Amino acid sequence: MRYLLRRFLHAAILLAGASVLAFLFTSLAPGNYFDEMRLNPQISSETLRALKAHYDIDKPLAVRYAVWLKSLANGEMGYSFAYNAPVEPLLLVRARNTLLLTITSTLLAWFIALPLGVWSAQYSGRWVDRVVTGASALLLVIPDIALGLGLLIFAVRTRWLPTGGMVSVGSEAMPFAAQWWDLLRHMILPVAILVLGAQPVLVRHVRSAVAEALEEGFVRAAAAHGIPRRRLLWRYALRAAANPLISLFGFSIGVLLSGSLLVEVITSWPGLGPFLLEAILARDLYVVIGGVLLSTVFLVGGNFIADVLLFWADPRIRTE
Amino acid sequence: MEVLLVAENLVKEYAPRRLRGAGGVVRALDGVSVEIRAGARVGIVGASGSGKSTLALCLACVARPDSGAIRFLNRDLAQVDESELREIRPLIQLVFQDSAGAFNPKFTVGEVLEEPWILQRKLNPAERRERAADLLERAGLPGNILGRMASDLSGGQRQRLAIARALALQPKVLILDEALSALDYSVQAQIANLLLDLSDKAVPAAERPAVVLISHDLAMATRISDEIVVMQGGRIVERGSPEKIVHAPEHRATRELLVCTSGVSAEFDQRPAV
Amino acid sequence: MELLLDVQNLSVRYRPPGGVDVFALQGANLQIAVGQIVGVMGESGSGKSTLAASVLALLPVNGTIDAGAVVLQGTNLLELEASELERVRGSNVSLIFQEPGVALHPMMRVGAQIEEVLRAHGAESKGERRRAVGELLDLIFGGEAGRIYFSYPHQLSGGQRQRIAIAQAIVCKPKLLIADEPTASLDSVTRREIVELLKKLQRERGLAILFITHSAELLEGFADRIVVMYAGQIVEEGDATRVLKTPRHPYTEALLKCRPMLLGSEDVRKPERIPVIAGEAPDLSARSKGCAFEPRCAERMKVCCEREPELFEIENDGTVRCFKFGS
Repeated sequence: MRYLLRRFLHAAILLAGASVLAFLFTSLAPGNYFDEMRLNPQISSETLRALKAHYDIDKPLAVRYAVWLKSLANGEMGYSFAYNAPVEPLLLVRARNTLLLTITSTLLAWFIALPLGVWSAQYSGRWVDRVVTGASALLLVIPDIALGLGLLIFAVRTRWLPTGGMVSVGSEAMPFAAQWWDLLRHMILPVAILVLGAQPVLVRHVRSAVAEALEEGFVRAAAAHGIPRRRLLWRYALRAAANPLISLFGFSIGVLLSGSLLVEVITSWPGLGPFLLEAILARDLYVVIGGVLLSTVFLVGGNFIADVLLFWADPRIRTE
Repeated sequence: MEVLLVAENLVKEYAPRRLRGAGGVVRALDGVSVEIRAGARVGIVGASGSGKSTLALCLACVARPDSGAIRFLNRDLAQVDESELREIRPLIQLVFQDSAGAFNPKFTVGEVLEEPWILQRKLNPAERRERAADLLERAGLPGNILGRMASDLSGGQRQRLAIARALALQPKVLILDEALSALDYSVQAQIANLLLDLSDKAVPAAERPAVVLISHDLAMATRISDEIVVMQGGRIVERGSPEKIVHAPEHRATRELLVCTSGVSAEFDQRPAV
Repeated sequence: MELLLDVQNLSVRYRPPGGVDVFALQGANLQIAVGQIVGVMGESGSGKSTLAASVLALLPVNGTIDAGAVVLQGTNLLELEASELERVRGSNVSLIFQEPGVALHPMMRVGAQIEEVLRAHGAESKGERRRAVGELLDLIFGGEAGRIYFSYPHQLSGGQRQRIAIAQAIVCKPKLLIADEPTASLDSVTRREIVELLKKLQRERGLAILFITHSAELLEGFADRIVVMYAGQIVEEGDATRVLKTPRHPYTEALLKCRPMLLGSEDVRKPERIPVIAGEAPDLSARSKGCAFEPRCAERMKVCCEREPELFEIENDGTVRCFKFGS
């Protein structure tokens, strides 16, 4: 129990630190949102000064941070200059879109990688293993962007899949079921790119963890007691391989918000990634900070979930 | 003979990963006092959990006792400053049971032997090589293995290498924690003879270390020691010469060890009610 | 006595990748009767562990059985399919290893691990399994059985873990237990306790035991017969008491002399240096023409390096592989 509390405290401190750093770095970057406007001769410098004052941009860093913290306590994350609206609704909608993609693809990726890795470890050295390892190596070598663009071209040429966006034009007018089907069709391409991109790393880790577990003394001893092969594999080896895989899973959760930027841009998926990118370029301060913080929550949260899972899975950690 | 290493009233506790329901702290050492003189051969015996390995670790300055003092050549090791401790540590060497883990698997035999001198920044390369060959001879290893990987050696050879490395810095005390237990009997005999040779009266005093053998094997301990110390439950329960321990054991723990150990004939086999 | 296990002319070779073949076992013959305790004495490299693993066809990937048969009450185990072998292991013949800490799954409670063996071999319900395991633990651990059932391996001592391994091995009531150096990593008191436990199991369940060790003293008062192995061959076999008191093969004699014995009235520390066996352990990748022990033998004769001795019979008590007893 103390172990978990320690990890939680650790996570909380990380989060606080991340927020400070995010604030610091974005504010330290030269310029601000309104610098663009300066180039426009139609806007007078008084207007600019008034705007800046209104948005507190001329106040010192510490003050701005304190104000932001206070509004965070109220559940608000600041104000977007570009959209002229509070930040959280904007962010949360985009985050939801991203999560739709990433949760689906993460689950699918693990669902495919686990049996492939176990299978590969079981027949280590034989043709099954060679095919799986070879395919993984090939996928690893192909850069994500090439993979994405390749699949995009495929979609365009065959016209089987929509080539971008999250929903078709005029989808609100469709009946409920049709709307869901439309969404699903749009998801196929980005999810495919994400799953294929994640496979090599996952499969390799599963394979090596299981292969190592199969060499362990207790597997040999269990075989000597007549425990059948399948049970040895799934109940003994996989369970012992859990530790490194749980850490990896925690990492998968950690990048749920931040790992899909490239794919979202290629497939024009209205997710958090492109939105944040735009905000960074436009110096939309509070959007950027809010986005970074949200991503950090997931990263830290993912680690913490991994800690909790490890605690549950490994009795040696529990009885420390 | 001068007193080299003294442990006074050592106490060490730790909280083990106990069975569910059985909690609390364990006193690995519960007021242990022991004296090692120059040139002595001491055997510390006991069952597992008796505290003998903890004692070895404390004597070798690897672990710190919770209370009590350890004195080396009359200097209290808890009061001594870091630089003096650095001088003292090489004079008390420890050899473990499983030397497979004691060497860097990527090192050759020569590198293993020269490492202590390199770390202590003594001797130039030529002197090191010469001394390394010399150590091999003392440890009964053939000179041509200097280039072989340490991990390629057999169990007995590895233990000899561990002892050779321990001798590199000319220690005054050589502590062996179950260093013979995992070996075949013929190999154990060879290593035991090696220890006897190293600590023989004929060897000049500067090169002759005091030998402390920690073991659960009372037979081996009595063979190579001049004094036996029996431990149980973190305490010393009996001390004496090997003859006395074997022929007139007083404590129950000693009798139990006698019965359970090598080559005891049937007349000893009246297991005390434990 | 009814024959339980008959190992016939078993030869095993290891083929390490990129290295020379090692002839770990050469023509081994061994018989175990029902309820009999046979001790196998030997040092590292003698082939004793290979023998143990071969009986249940549990050799590592680079080991091959070149020749021979392992007949368990009429069935040659080496000719069985993998699934049939799985049925034999743990239920007719069990095997326990040297390092109990490594032989148990670190993340499963020990009670559950014993249940797994039952589950693999029987169709009992979960409740029945739990009861059977509970009874067995009561037998082995007495009062502490309840707490131990729910423990994890890392919470137990070495001796307790080995007892759990024994429980796993006997829960399906096998007829033969093969114990490969089960006490090597335990202290002397615990070793005796484990041996006493095995004696009890043999008495109460008629369990035959093949006990492999390099510690001769454990076999005293325990084994019925002793087999001595050297360089992959059996060099002596006979009644246990006789082998330990008056060994015939020069190797057995030399080996027994290497022990730092404590005897009743003799001076415990004479001779000052413990007798050793001269020379080095044999290289198993080269098959020598003569006797494998000849280079180190104090009693070697001219014929010993010319031909390999067979196992010569001694009048109604065992065999010896030495030209001193035959030609």
